[in-house]
Amino acid sequence: MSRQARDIRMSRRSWLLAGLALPLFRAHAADDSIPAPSFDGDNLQPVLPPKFHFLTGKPLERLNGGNTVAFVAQISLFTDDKHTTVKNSPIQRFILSQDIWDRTFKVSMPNYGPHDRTGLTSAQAEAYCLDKIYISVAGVPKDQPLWLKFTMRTVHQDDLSRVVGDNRLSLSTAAVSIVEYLSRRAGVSEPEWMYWTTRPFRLLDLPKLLFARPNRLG
Amino acid sequence: MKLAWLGVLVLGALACGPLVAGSQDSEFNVNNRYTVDSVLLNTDGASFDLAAARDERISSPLRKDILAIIGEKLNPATLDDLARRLRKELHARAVDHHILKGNSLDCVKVVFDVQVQPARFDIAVPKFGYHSQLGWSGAVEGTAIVNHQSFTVGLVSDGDELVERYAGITARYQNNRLGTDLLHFSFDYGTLHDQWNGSTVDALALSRLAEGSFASSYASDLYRSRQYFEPALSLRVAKPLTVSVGASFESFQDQMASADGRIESANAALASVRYHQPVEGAETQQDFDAGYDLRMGTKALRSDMVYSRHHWEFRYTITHGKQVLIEDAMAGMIMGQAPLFERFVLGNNTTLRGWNKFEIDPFGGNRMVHNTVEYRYGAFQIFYDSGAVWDSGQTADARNSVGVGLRQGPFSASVAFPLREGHIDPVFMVGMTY
Repeated sequence: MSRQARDIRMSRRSWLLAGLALPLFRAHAADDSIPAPSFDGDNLQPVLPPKFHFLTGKPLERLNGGNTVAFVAQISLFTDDKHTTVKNSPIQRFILSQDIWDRTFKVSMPNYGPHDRTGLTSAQAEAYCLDKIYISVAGVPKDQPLWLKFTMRTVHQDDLSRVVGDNRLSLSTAAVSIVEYLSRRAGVSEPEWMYWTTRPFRLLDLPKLLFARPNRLG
Repeated sequence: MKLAWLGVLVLGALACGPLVAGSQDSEFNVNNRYTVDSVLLNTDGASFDLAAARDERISSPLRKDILAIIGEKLNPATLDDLARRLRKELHARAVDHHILKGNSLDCVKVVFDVQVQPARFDIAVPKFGYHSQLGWSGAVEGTAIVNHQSFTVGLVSDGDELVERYAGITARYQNNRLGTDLLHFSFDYGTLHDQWNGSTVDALALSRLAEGSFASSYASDLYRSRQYFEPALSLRVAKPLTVSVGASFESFQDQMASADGRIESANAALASVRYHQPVEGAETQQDFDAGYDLRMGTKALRSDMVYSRHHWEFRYTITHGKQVLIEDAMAGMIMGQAPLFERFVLGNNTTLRGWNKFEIDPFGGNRMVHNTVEYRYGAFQIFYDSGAVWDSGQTADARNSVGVGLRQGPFSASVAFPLREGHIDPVFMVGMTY
């Protein structure tokens, strides 16, 4: 083996470090790409793949057992280099429970006013939540290339009380808890989903939807 | 300024966290409209109804709180709280909860799922106390628990329980499931060094001089050290009734002999019956506890001493709110020649409080009766002890004492007065009693 070939071989130490570092990239390894978002003139909404479902696995098991399960989601816009944040949407909270008798779902959004929905199927509950996740583009230059990142995470049962918060108490108090929560890495039993747009896009290139959204979150 | 606001918000989040923890989950759960009709505990694959059966590991207050949710609307926040308390009391790795459809429409069953810790290590202080006339007594032990087996090693120095002060190392192996939950096995080992109070040494020496005295007939000589092995089997015959059988192999070295001097043995067959029945009412909780212990030294076990020791105890506790009334009665009888550690003692941290055991009888007696009545209100306690310890053929001299104290959990501090003519020396006691 030539000297050059030996130089580019990975040493055992490098393999060991790579192996140890592998779990750090767990979330990114699970990443997927999504096309450019839909745009209604004011807000961007990610176009998630049809295979995306968050009512699965452990969270669904907990719901089947009559427990409350909370999800938090956020959209972020980045500049072309994917490192500089242009804007973050407010963190949206979805609190779900499943009726033990008729097996329908209830969705509550504590920082979204009186928008509880009951009697939903699993698919309807997911669609209702995803429909509420968008980001306002007010103040974002229309000709700037942007990347969109969508993140969603299940809230661990121990953190449920802090993240769910209470409208009557203080929204800002709950927000501090959520920001702190999202800044931590997800645990093994807390599913996390993250999607990036396949390529950068500009607002002026996006086709506008016919109907604007009635509410604006960001 | 921004940082100041951020600080306020973070502090607010920390301060309000526990406050909001109890409420918000409940109002969002669609099942909060259903009524709880039963509560099940699921542990080790076995499930039982908490209202119908009692788990001894769960305290009465927690059981009461769990049963209180029956008939109420489902409150997930309450279930979270109860699961946390169950986890603590059962030393479980985790306790989750879920609900099932109830027996009728609009009712649900609550199931607590207990995940048992496969192994853990505990440090405990089973005894720690100070008696102003007897000094300090204490024990500390570490226990490794693996599934249903536990291994305990401890250090002890006790001048309270027996005639002598003993100090040394103890060890215990326990298997709480020998094929079935009803059958337990334990093996105790101890190697102890014994110290004798001057009054015991003097009194025994004087007694030996008198030919035909009780001491030469009924008690062993003083010993400097002893070792014991005690294997035992316990069978829970019925829910409140447990029967144990076993053997005790105890050897001790004479106080006066040289280091390689004479070793005596007191090997005994053991048997005990214990009855424990808690009765919970709406307002009051009652607890009946009764037991009988027999230790029988026999030549069949190659014992140098042949004797039988009988001990009866009955304890009744009634709790009503902050008020607790305790009645504790016990009696004992020894027949034959028993080693000194088997003899009965009164006048310590738990019996005839206010008296000094060496003043009552410097080397104990082979007959004993004792009764305690104790009243507690919150942390305050007042007690009245009466009892007698004597040897067969002698007359029993009944003694009484009263005391007051403060008790918070296992911690207690009290002062007790012997009731007698002449001067009264109060005895102060502090410590932890379980």
